Amino acid sequence: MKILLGKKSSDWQKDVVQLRQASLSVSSNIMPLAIEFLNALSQEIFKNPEYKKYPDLISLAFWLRKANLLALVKQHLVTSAPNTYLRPRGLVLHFTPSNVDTMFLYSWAIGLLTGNQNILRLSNRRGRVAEILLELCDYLLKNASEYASILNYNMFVEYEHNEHVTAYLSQHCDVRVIWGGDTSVQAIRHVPIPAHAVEAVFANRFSLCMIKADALVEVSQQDNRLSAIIEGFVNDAFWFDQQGCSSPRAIIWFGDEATVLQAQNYFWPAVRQLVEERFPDLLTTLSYPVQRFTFLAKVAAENKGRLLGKIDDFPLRIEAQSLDAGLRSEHPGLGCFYEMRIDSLTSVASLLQRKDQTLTSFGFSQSELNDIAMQACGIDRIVPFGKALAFSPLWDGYNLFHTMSRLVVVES
Amino acid sequence: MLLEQLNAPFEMNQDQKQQVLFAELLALTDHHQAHCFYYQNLVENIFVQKHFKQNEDLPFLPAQIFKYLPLKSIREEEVFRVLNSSGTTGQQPSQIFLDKAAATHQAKVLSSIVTNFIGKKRLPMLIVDHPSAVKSAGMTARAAAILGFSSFGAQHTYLLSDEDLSLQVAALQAFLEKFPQQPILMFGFTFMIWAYLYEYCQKNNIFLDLSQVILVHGGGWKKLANLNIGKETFKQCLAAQFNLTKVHDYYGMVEQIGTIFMECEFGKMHIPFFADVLIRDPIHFQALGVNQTGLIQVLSILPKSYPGHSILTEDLGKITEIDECLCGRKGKVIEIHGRLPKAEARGCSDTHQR
Repeated sequence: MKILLGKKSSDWQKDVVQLRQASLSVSSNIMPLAIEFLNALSQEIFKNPEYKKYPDLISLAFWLRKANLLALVKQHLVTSAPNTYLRPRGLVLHFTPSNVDTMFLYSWAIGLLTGNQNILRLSNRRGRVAEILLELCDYLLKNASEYASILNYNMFVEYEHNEHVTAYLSQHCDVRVIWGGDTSVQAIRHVPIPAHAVEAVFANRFSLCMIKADALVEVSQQDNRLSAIIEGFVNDAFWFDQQGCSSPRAIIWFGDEATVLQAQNYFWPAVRQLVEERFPDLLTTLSYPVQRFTFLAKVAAENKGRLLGKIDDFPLRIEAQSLDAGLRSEHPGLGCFYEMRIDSLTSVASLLQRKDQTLTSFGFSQSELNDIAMQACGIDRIVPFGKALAFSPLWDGYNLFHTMSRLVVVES
Repeated sequence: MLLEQLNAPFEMNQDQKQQVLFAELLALTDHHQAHCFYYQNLVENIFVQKHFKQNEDLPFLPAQIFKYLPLKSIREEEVFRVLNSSGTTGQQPSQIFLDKAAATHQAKVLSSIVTNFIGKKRLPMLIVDHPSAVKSAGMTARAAAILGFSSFGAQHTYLLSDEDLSLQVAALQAFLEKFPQQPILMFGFTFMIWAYLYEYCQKNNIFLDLSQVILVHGGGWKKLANLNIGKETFKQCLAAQFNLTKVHDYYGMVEQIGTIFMECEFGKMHIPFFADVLIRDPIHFQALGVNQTGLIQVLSILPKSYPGHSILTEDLGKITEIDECLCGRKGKVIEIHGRLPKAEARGCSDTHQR
């Protein structure tokens, strides 16, 4: 057990208890201070030209700007019902993911903005960007006296998987947030939390993309517009080697056969060209083609899909008739896509399952998208191209501001 | 049937061999399509081009597929033995299904190769492993190899203790005294030979004369590569410590029953006539030429009970010569370079730059 940030004595269990005590005392509203602090963190990131090479860090810095935080608070920390108020739940315990380096900070920021105390478990496999953020937080909290009090209410820890530590932390929390997939969720979930506590879990999810073929054919005649669309798709799909939950792994082509074929012929060569430029590792990593091929072989053997194009194509394209649970869970990322052609909104809606998180779409009207959302039993976000990976406090069907708040009713 | 020519596994030159093999492999491709539902799907959904003209056109399966699906071209009640690969921890093992005929062929083929290098006479045999390695439930690749090679020896003696894998020095010395000045066969896994025989003796100042020993070892170099010990060092150390110079490394895998590529007295690994190797580019999978490094594809006419006659492995290697080895064995000579480096599943942003 290692405390990476926060007050530490010789006994970490005492430190946890102290933090817990702090959450019980009537606290002044720490939200304004949190906004100032997060904004300062944003400025620190923008200040250093070295960080320009980490787009996810820059996206975070934009998100942490005061104006954005104020807008978020205004939007999410109010209720529409009369005489109701959102108040902090108390101590939030966050299990943050190892694969997306900036995620812990988003989770923490919402914990701060909602006025809670926070304990974050950081992964020991975290990458460079997480280290940078840790260093910056440490620097600000230790060197700018106005933020020092944040250290009284917040703690970042790191430990090897250890059920006793998890149990100790869990028994003191009011909210437990588990990022990081099915295995982590199941491993942590059976460790009890206090009876009154609530939990938000982020399991493995599957994401798709939907393209209206005639709309794509139309923009393909105009050079600039197609490249903007391709840019959005490539960013959505290939960050994190296509292993992010929100990155599309299946493409639904909407339209008649001939138009779809035409659209595909515009789409894929352009995608490949941009990936070559932006994510060359996906094309040159020696072990990836055989991993893609192994995946294809499995799908083909079970007759769940057939190869479109050649076995060494990038991306590797697989025509599927339907998407069962196996196809959803076995997809390895790395630049593989299931493709299917559909020509009714109802069929799109019936394809979507509870495991599905993000549907990026191109060429559909708001009312068409509404229809899909209202008919489908799954899907948490439908967003335009380029927005798949953009963090939002509305995630996996939760409003995180609300998850970390108590709804208080006051009637006189 | 080709298998009747088993007494001469290295006589056919590459040109002859290629033609003979191609017909057999093509027939096997049809056979498995007719008898294995998964294989039929696989070929139809991936390898649409049906005009196979040479070995490199034939469909190939990724080696890992045997971990995910029970591929077999025999009926359930015909299954005589199931071989499991040891696999990396946490992974499911490969499953290879043999019927009686396949099991018999496996033994015959292995024998034809091995006796070509060590002679037909059954030799007194030392096994650098512990006795219970072959007694575990299910047939592991390790047990299958030990038992397979055991048929070339007699008076089998296991050299490691079941408790802590320590070398049974007294038993070894007694064995050497019992069979003085005659060839002795020794078998074990490369890493076991290194760690439990060589290093043990070296650290404990145990000096043994093993000049009469013919060592056959396999199982790969991954662990030794991590210790930065290559083939040459391995050989030099065994020669210096034990005067042990007759050393034959072999390459084989559970998915390619019976077919192993064995090192000759000139240190070259030979491919027997009933098998072939193609080297493919790891990115585009096109077949490469002599001295070009790529993924090893193994072809063999043996696998009839399961569709393993054409497998793309995740091992890297290259063909260094064809029909030219000084030992007189014909066919291709292959050099194995080890496992394709696995990229960690990444999520860290610092690996990609805009």
